[in-house]
Amino acid sequence: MDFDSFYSIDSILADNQKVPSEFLTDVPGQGWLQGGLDKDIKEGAKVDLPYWMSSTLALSEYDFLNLSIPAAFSTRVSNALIASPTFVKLANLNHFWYSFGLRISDLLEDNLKLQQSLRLAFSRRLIDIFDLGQYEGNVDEKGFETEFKAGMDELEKQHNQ
Amino acid sequence: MALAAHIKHSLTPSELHFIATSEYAVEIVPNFSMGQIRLLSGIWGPFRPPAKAKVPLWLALDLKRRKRCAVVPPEWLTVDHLQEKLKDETSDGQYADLPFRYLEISKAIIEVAGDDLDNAAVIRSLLMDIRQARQTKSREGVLKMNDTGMAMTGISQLEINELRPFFVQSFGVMRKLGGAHVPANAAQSSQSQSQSQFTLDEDGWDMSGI
Repeated sequence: MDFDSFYSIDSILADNQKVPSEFLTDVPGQGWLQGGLDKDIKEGAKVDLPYWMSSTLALSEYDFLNLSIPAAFSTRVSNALIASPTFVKLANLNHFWYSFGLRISDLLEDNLKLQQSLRLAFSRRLIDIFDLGQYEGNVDEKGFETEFKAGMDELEKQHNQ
Repeated sequence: MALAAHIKHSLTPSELHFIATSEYAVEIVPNFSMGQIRLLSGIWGPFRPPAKAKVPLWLALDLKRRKRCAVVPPEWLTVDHLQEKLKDETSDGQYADLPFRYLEISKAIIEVAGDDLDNAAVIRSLLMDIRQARQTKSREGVLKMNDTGMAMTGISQLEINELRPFFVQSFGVMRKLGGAHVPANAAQSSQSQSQSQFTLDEDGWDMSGI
């Protein structure tokens, strides 16, 4: 549950989640970031960069990057969360959905919607996390619980430990 | 003591049992004669059968194990009283009025001095019913949790203890996630459920009235 503690492995891993970025300038010699054989990065190239790198570049005084919101926090996902928070498999979207989401919301100017959907997801999924912690093993494993467990984000998995 | 992290910030049930037995005093009918005794917790006795004497619970249990006394069950540990409490528990949203350490105390007494209770088996099943009703209320507390705080009037020590790690963590996460004071009309959809979620968050939540 440490979102930004220095020693938290999860927060390091959350820092490494990829953000879709578009380069606004040529970058010579860094073509390996794209994973191809090109030597240089051309202007307009779209690369998935880890959060720690893309946030630094995007927030620097030169316009290196244009960031877009990762698919895990798209409107489609937040609508699905409003419809049924417990049936969305957060782990399939991102294993560090909450921590990564907070980081993304720090980058956004208008982050109210994202924060709301993070918050909504957590408070509405909480009861099922609680039930799992209290009654796991006593319930029929084939049902909803297994489904829900498979979709739990790392933070939720640690919640009952 | 080397303990897992999640146990460290809560007391273990055996520690709670220890605290309850040192803190709580019960009446006993001794079957030996003795003057007053001076203990750290105070002066107890004298013991003159068949008069009752008040002693700390741990002492009562110890004497009972040595067959030196009969424990007089506290007035709340009777079938009638518990039946009434069970009724309160199931009809009212509040936690029923029971001693703070009722679980620890009743478990200790039933275990050691079950033969001094009228109908120990019924008392045990009543206690289990009460516990289940209270667990349901705690679960409802989770449903209504927010990051500003909550009141759970009448919750007992053991229940606090089992909820503490979960609640503390959830409060932490919620505080980090923020968005607690989002005005209700800013909620993304008009769906009643999500709407109510944010309305709930706005006012300092009082769980006692569930």
